[in-house]
Amino acid sequence: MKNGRLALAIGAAMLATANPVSAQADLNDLEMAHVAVTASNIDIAYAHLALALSNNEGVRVFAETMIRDHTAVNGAVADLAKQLNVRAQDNDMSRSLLRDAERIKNEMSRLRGADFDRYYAENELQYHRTVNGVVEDVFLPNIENGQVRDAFRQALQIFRGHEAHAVQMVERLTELR
Amino acid sequence: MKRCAERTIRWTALALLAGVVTACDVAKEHHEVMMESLTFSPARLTVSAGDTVTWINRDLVPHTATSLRGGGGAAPGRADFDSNALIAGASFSVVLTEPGEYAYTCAYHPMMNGVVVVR
Repeated sequence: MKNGRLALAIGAAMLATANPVSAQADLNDLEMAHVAVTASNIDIAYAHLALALSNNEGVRVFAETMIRDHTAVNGAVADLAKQLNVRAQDNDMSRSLLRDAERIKNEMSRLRGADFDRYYAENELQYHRTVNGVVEDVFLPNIENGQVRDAFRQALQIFRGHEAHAVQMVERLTELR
Repeated sequence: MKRCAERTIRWTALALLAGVVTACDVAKEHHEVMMESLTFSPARLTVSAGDTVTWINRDLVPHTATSLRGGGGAAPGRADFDSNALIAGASFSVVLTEPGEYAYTCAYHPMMNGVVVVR
């Protein structure tokens, strides 16, 4: 895999849905893969929180799907890395995402009932919108390895589906108000 | 006369048998539905009673083909069917013998919907 680097100005708002912070990223393919896996792991963590705190069936179904799907996507990324004999590389953007996720998890874990459900649902919608936008507009045009690009394309289709599912979840919660 | 009647019966029996064989020879078709990019393709499929429908998961993530008639169960020919989780590359087949419209969904991705019409 080539290691050509590119300068990407990406909002670290990828995850910081409530408090976007601009960040400068300079990522190669392996670092972008690390960001994608980190973003998936963060969404899995949010989902576990939802399963622990929510009694809303729609929220729970969504959370279970996030765990199932993001685990499968991460498995596919790991398989590809093994096949290419490479390893995803940690980077500033991944670390920034994790910091923001900690803050969001802390905020969410203090909420209960409908307040939690609404926060979780709206965060999931914004999170997927932001991450999908970054993958589509920033990562895909700059990934150098064809197999990595194909994997990102396939994952993006899945994550677009999550975004549509999140829209549905938010709408249903709004109807309950 | 009696001999003629016997011959007639024999030929009739043979003809009937031939008819049965012909009916049995009508090949039941096999149809495939792809689970890809969080869609069923084709989303609407028309088949003949007794045909086999196979769903194949070409996505990275698990899917199901779950009949909306309720009840679950994967017994061939049943109006209600449920593949349960199909991981990437896995498939599920069902023989639908009763005419009707079989709406189904993916239990994990509510945006994924399809219909099999059995004539």
